[in-house]
Amino acid sequence: MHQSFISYKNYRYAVYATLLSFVAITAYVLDSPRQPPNGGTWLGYTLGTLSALIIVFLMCLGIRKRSYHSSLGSVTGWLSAHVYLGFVLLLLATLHSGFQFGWNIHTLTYALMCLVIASGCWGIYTYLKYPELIVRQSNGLSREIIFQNLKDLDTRALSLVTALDAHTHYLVLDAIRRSTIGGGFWAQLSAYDGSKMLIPNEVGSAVTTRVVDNKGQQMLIEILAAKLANSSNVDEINCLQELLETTGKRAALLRKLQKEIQLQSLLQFWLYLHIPLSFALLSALIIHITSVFIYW
Amino acid sequence: MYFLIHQKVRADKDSGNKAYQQLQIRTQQLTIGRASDQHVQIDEPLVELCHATISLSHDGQLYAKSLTSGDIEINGESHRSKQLTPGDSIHIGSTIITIEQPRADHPVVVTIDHSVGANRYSLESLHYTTLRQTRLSKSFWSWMLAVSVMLLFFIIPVSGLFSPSVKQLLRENVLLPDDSLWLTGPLHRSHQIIGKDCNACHTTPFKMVQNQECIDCHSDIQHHVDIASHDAEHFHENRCADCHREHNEPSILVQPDQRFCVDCHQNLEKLKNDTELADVSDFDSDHPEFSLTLLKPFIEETKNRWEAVRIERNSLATIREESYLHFSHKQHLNPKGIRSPDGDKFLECKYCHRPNTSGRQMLPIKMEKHCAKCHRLDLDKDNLSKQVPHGDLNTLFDTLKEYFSHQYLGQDALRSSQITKDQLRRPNVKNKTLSIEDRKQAMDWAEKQSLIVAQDLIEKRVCIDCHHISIIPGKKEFEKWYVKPVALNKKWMPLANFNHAKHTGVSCATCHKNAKESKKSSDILIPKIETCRECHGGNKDKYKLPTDCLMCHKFHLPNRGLLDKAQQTVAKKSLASKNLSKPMNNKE
Repeated sequence: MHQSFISYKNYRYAVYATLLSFVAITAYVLDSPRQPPNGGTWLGYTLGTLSALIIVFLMCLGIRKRSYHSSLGSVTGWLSAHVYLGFVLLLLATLHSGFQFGWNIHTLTYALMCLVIASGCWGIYTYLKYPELIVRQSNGLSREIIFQNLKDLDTRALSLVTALDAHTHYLVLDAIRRSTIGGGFWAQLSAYDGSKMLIPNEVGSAVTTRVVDNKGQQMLIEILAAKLANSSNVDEINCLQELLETTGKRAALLRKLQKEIQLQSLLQFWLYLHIPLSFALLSALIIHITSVFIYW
Repeated sequence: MYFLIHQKVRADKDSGNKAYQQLQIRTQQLTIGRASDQHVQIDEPLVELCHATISLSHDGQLYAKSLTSGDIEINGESHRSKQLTPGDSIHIGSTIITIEQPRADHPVVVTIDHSVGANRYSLESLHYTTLRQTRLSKSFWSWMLAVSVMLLFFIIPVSGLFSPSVKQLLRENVLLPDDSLWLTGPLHRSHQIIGKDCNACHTTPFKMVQNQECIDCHSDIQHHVDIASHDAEHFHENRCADCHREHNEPSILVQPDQRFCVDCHQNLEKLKNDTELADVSDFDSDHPEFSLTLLKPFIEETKNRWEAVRIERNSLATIREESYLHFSHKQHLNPKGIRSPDGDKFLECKYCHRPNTSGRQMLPIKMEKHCAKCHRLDLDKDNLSKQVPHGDLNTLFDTLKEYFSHQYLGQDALRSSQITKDQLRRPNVKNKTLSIEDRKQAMDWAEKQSLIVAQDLIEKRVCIDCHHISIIPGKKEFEKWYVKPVALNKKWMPLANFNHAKHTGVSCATCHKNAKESKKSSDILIPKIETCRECHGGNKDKYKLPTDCLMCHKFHLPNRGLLDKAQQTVAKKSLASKNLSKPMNNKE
């Protein structure tokens, strides 16, 4: 049976983490150093060393994840430990600091650690929430199948439009070409529909060609509908009606794809913060430890 | 300006006829790229979002220009930008853009041939559908952030350690990162004058701050024990920074933890067999009764001296102050008042006892200032206009002699109650010089009168009120009296700091309980430790004022020898021990 990283082995790491927190808090309360609590007392050094080791261990998840042949515990187990030790780290490092903060590398290290933990929390939230949403959004269809369906609709629309005049043919061809799916990270995250179309001039008129917005294929649908209203040829009417229906289906499928891409990118985006911030933290941690002993 | 564009729409396979859509675009610059808002959209993966432009200059020339990092192919040759003439064709992706001959109404005519079109690629490959394909990159930003942090917070600041000029440049320029980024906390305000110069104390990297760095500025600081004694050896391992911890919040210059003292003082015999100091571990529960330092007089014929003597205060009854002053606090503090020349007076402690500006000591009590208003030194109790001086007996006698000589010679001598007409036998003749006989007679008379009055003043009326008077055997006349000099104790507990100014909230009698009942000046009125403990609790007392050692005591004590010298002794010894170990190493 599948076991979530949250409840892995009956919350084994959650228990370890709670015990560790309890020990740390007790030690902090009982300890009465001869100076204000800080990272330089014996408890401060202990908590600091422990925190640094935990950070290195947490970062090792990236290595373990990629070592497919490793027998050093399951990745789920590692992830479970990663999550719970990550939470304890926040407590240990706070106690290590002795609640002394300032505008310096030491507090920067602490702040980076908090950001990494916060982005990790967001990651837990997305892993718990988005997979289900993605399945619901795509009705269980894979992205390849949805793309195949879209391509079929494109082909159908283009074959229909050959029966019409070159002007309409160009409109549909251009609208299909300028339909957007996904795009840059911002377009993916916001499910932005940047579809455009080129509206050509009427022959002989003064109106010039221009690129206009075709969000949700609305502009194309309006143009086709207007053409349908003006048409008197029965074959042309049937063809346009079918073309309109196909365009509508295309628009719905495009929207579905954009939404699916949005959820997928949201599922991954936190990691684009978590990983770089982790490395920034590692860098800051090395400086923190070194600088403290340079000026001992 | 209009661009006239012939866009190929479809080709009839059978006839080979091509159908074109004619577009008219009003722009100075025709944009070509993959983005949906480009004039000519070429939806292929190898085409950039904004790939190239064809622009029309003011003089009617056409130019093609690549917007990517690579070239574009024009007539089979690579160009970054090129002037175009009719007949030129540009290949971007699988699309061919051909420049046609200009027409009368359109200076630019372009044919666009999407020869293969989008069908060559799968639909999915034409779009960026995952974050991995976007410009977001985990590894790039990981490197970027890690390296930036390393550079800003370490590489640049640490470069100052290798070059003083770089260090100075970094520290002086606000925008450049220097080693102040490594500060773990603020400096105490008394050390703020050091500013950004970390190396004032942190001289050697990876080495704890040494005592010598502190002594360099605080050269006059004294040791805790006599530096010449063996006691100093107990402090060789100690660092100034043990107690004086910097870069912490709250910023405290002396850590108030009494364990620094109690570690040794709770069992001092362990370190020093012959110690005279009692063990102490807490003010409230384990602190000996205050010892007192009293002035012990040594009266000699030629000079008098007092020595400060330390007395353990086991019993109040056995200790006496020897100030040689007659004084009754009870009498002076009589609630009914005491007689004075100005009527009855109600005295309070503060009439005589006032702390100095710092509050740490009391101002000296002066006869002239505090006593003389009531204790008048009237020469003649019937003549209040004339007073004798206080202090030295010889001055007193001179004053008396002058007074009576003047009386003898002056008319007003007649009015004196002490001189009768019978006693005065001098012929009162004006403008006649006195004979030697007359002068001798006058001298004798004045001396005789002075002696009578002096005896009255010293033994009966004035001096005896406050002073101890004795008659020196074998001496006569003016030389027979001896007034014992008075010395009032100033520092009862020189090893403790007591500040009256900080205790103004309580009345004097709250602590000096027996003052109002004291009849003799020899009574000790300094409070015992119990009195202090009424308000002062132990170090961690929750109901009284928590009191640690440093509230009353200091670590650096006067006259113990400079810490600087002790430090040099340590350095010499460690050098000697190194030299000793060298020959042994050589033997090996």
